[in-house]
Amino acid sequence: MDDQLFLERAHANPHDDSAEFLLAVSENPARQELVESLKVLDKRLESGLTAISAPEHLKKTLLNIPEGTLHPDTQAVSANDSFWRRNFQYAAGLVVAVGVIAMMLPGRANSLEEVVMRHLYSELSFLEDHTPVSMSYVNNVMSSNRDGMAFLQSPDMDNIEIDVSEDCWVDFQNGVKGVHIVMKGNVGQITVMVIPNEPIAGQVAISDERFEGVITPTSGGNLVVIGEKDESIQQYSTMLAANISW
Amino acid sequence: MVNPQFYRILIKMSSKGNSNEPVIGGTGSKKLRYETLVGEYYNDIFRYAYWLSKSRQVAEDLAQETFLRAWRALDNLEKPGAAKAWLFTILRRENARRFEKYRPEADDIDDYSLPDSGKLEPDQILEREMVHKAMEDLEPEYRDPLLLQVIGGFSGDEIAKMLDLNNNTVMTRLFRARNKLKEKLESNEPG
Repeated sequence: MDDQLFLERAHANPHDDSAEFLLAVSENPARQELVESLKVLDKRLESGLTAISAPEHLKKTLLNIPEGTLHPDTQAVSANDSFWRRNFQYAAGLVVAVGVIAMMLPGRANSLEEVVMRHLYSELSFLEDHTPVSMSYVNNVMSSNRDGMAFLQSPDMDNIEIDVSEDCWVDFQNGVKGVHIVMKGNVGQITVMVIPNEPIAGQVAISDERFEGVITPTSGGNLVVIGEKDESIQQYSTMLAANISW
Repeated sequence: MVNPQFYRILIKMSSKGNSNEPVIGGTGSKKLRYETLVGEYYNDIFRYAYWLSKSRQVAEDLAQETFLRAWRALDNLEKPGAAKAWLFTILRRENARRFEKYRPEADDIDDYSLPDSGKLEPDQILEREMVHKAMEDLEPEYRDPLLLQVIGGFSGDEIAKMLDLNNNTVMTRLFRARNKLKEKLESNEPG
């Protein structure tokens, strides 16, 4: 093993215990010294990096996951694969579709319908994410978007299953941020966008060849719900609008 | 790298018919396997999450999301020896998912409040801070494989798979990472 190769291998892994490497080390005292100095460096690294310890409560919190106490909302949902739970996920998908459809509407350039449909289609991969997140996680995202914004705790909300909750630039150019949620619906994934901007004048229906949905103005902003064609969009929209604190 | 207790649990699980060993089946066995995973790896997961996020709060959230997903998918884990790499991969994906949408606020590099620092001598605290600063200054492409090697204890091949790189690239990055760290730490040595 030539010196350059040895130098690289020693730095890449000074603890290399392959016969080839150990033989190379034994051939030369300078190599032994280098390896020892690198092992000392690794000790320093290990000592420094492991100085970061998990908080004391974390292990207990993690051990409670199977009992659902970390994410009580999610546990309730898991125990009851209800209509609402499945529909909420599908609703997120629908919201995205609504935005795309609205974008295509003539004479409504830059309308909220256009914006949300554009965003829906730009984030279609969200509809493929089937890993549930808890309501507390969703509400953390909501409150990070705007203080006080959250879903309320209620039997309806307990029965939905959410797979995605992301703080998104719904309209980057105009500085409009919202929370993009995907939940399970009866037919498929439902996209929900909670957008704390100026409420539109009245509820708007949006649709394209795949999705349909509604944008509902509320006291604190606009609620977008979009799903597959046969989804009960209005039902979800009404339920969600009644359970948002802005 | 796998906790021997984890293997013992699996041996018990596969010991049906052996009256000397309790048979742990159904959800009980899943829970036991999960608890073993938590006990063995939660600190490493938190540490790695911390270095990915630079925030204790975000690291805690990432650890919770990682183990929540692990619990839900535990039946898909067929090889106990792959458990640690599996968890780290879940964590990396979870972090990437968050990072795509928003960058969590990072802890200030000058505000590392190292646990138990109060019990350390001033020179020990200084030493830790030097190491942290040196790691922080490393470019992510060098820091990432080094963290996986030092915190995770992963081999070059394992790191290559996790980072979707070839083994030569990983070894080159590890070489450069240690080279840079050594220079950085030596330049900060007193006197």
